[in-house]
Amino acid sequence: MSRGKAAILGFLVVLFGTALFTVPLVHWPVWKPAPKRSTRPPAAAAKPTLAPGTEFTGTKAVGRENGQRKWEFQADRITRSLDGLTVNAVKIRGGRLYEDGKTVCSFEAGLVRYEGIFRRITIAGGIKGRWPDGLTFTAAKAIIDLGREQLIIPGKVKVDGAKESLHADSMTADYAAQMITLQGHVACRWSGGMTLSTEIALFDAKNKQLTAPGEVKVKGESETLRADSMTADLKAETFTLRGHVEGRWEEGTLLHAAEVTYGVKDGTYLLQGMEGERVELSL
Amino acid sequence: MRHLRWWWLPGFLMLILMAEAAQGADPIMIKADLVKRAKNTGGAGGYLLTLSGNVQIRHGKTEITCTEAVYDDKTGTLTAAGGVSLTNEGVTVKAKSLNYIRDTEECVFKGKVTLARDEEKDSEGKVTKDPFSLSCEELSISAATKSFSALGQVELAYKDTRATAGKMIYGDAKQQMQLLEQPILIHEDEKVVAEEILLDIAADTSTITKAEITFNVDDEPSSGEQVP
Repeated sequence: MSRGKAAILGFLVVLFGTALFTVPLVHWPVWKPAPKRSTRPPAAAAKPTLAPGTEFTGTKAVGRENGQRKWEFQADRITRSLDGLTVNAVKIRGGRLYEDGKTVCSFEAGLVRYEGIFRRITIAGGIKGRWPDGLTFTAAKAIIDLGREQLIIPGKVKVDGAKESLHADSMTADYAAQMITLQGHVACRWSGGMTLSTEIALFDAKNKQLTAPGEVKVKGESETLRADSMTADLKAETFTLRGHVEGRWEEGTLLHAAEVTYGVKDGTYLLQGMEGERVELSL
Repeated sequence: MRHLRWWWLPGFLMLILMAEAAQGADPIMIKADLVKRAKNTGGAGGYLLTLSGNVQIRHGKTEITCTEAVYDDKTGTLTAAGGVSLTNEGVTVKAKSLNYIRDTEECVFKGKVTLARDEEKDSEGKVTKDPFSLSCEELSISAATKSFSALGQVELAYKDTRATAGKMIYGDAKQQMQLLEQPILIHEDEKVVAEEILLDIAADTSTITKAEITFNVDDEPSSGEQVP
């Protein structure tokens, strides 16, 4: 083989090898046959699967579990996702939560979002809620956890009773049992002008019992008191302060006691010392 | 009536409330097992403090202990009952009840009243204050008018002097003390039984009405006896 032929052969070998590695990396246009157009009419759209137990009648939505009504609301407008698991509603009236077929809480709000997959209802916009005994609450946003039967208000909330008004930065409530936990700058105001303030308060709304397990301050027209804890009977309108109770009345009397019970109706204080310790006053 | 000086008696009794008045700026400290503070009814305003169990009231150097007491803020009246005991500067007054009016500084002890000062000695054992006691059924003291009266089976004891009377009255305006209702004064060997005894402390004189005075006269020693 002459040197010229050998050079040509070598060049071809190199060229072929290069092509062998390069060609697969290039996206060569692929020819595809045109899709066949069906002559039949298109299939009907799949029917959305509603959240189990959710019924819609006009602009009224009702949620059921195990055949029992759990919640319902009437709204100006209701929209729902195609899968039926999410329902949005505007201008809610007659919102109700049920327990054993009885209304345990009712509410009005600007917006409602029901998420079936989480069994959760989020309500917002000027919420006005009410328990059957007349206790009401107002908040900007609330979450109803249907699984745990909890009403969660992550922001400021106001709870109003016949003679008392409770304020807090947030609230969690077992809405069926009416057991309410208030947190953050909790203030309880009586119509007489007395204010209790604490950081956490547990309110048994059915029995009208308010408990503050931590430090509590009381400010009235003529008195300022502090204590390690407090229980209040809002029905009887009495509260009991316990543990290192200290205070001052307007005339300058200072007090130190282990337990102080105050009757809001008659303005009577009952002061007691612990075992082996007496009440101390300074007039 | 040799050596019979009465100036100390009203001084003792006035001491309690005079000291109280001087302590006006001091706070009144109260301790009790149970305290009830209620609004005063009848539109009078103020409040009522009801103290129960191991009640202790301190005002300056004065301390009152009792089992129950009621303080009316509007009238400034303190009513104490049940084993009342008031102590001040070594003087102790005990009675069944005490009624104290803040504004007029009047103090009324009732029921088996005893007023006593214990003997006090200095560090060397020398007596600095002699014991003194007074008992009666009712003792009223007014710091404002500087007067007092003791009623019912009044008995006094100071050093060698004993006195009993149905009534004893002292007024600082005249600085006179009256012992009324069968007063009896016994000093050392002397005994005075009278209808009324008037002691003028300022003039250091005494006026005894319808008195019967008994005293011992020492016999002159006979010439044969030796005088020790």
